[in-house]
Amino acid sequence: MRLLGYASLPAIPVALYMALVAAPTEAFMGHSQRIMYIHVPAAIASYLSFAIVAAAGALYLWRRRDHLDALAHAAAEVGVLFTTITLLTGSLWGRAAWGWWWTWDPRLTTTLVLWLIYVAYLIMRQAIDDPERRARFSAIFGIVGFLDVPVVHLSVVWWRSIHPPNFAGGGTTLDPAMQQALAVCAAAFLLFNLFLIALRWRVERLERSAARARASGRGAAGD
Amino acid sequence: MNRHFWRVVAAVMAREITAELRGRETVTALGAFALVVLVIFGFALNPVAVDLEPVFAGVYWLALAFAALVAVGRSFAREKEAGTLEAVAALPADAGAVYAAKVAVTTLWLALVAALLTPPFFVLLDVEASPPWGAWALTTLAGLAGLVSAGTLLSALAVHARGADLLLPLLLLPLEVPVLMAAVRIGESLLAGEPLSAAGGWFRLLVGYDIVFFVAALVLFDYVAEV
Amino acid sequence: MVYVFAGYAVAFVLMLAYVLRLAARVARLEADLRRPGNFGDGGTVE
Repeated sequence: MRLLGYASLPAIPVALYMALVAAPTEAFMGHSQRIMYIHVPAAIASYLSFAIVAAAGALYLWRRRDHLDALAHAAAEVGVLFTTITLLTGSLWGRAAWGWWWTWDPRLTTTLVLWLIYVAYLIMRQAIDDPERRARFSAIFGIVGFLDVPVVHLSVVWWRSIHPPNFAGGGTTLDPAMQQALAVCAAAFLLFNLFLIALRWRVERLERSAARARASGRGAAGD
Repeated sequence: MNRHFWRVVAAVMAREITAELRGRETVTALGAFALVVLVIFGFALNPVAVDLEPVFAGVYWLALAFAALVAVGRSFAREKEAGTLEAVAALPADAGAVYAAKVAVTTLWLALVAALLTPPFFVLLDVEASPPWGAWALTTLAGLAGLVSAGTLLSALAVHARGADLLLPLLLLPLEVPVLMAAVRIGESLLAGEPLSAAGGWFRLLVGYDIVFFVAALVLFDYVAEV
Repeated sequence: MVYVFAGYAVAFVLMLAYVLRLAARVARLEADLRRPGNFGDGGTVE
């Protein structure tokens, strides 16, 4: 975790420099296009987080280790943070580029649905008292929720599309310098995302061992 | 899927159907609920002043989605009240069978409600259209199966949580987005007089959702019912 | 331009607030776990 922290903290200023100074200004959208360098990486980071939620949930159902459930919880919370950032920056970008605060464009809409699913996930965790059952049910919902992601995405793409063409797919029209800046930003966000999940995971495990120690009244079980 | 699985499915379905035939509580209550939703939509949208045909499929599916939400919310209520929720899955292999039976029965009741309410829907919302009825019924069945497949699993989760009534819609509605979108798009296309093949992509998406969520829930249900 | 600024500000304020809160929680929990007697760690149970 330390390593992730040390790696991600200097990566962020570098990413900022690439995004704000080194990358050329977009010809049609002007400076507003620079929001992309946080909007897209935040979206990628949130997908990674939710994949971790599903994977940790599946592993939990298999191995039944409490720390796997703690990881799922941590990743869900960080994922919600990054979807929130994606939504807010997407809204600002939409206002700047198209003149509307909200457009029902496919990727923004997918992100909104994801946000709703994982906010519900966090609320469900709070509503179940028994820790073992909470872990089991959260794992199930985490897996089902993640299964929904590609279906939601496909359906909103069919439903309506005014988003700029996909950057990841072939035939990209993005300037090479912009691509480079975007790649650096995405790498920085992913590192920072993993660092946040690790930190949140540590908090969760500490809290659980504190709760266990309090409950049993005997020596605190450190991890 | 051995013989034992199907025996449990048949037994649970038979129990649910006999209970329903005795009281007719579920279909009556669900039908009345969907009708009330429909009338409320009528007041909110004012069919006298506005032509509702463009939004008819949306209204139809929202009413069915609300009815499905209530139906799956009730699907484990009787077991919960009687304290037999854990007992329904005394054998590990039974949990999936109980799930499959619940999905089949709940979909059946909702399909009955939809069939009964389709004529009043068209009349009350003042929409004169004659979609290809076979395709309309098939879409309704596929859409309901999707709502119920995901809903029954989530209902089994929510029933153990505090505030289950509030939690279930919160968990279920976002997951249902693809079903609603697909069903509404197909409905619009059918209302315009087009054949089902005109919205073939959406129909495949709907059936794909049904299969993915039914199979995933069937597998995961073993973990829900664990004691 | 103002939207770019707002976008970056929103993103970094949220992330900074989150990371600071987590760091504070880790520090508090570690201090609590180390303090003898608090969680029955060799001392009396609360």
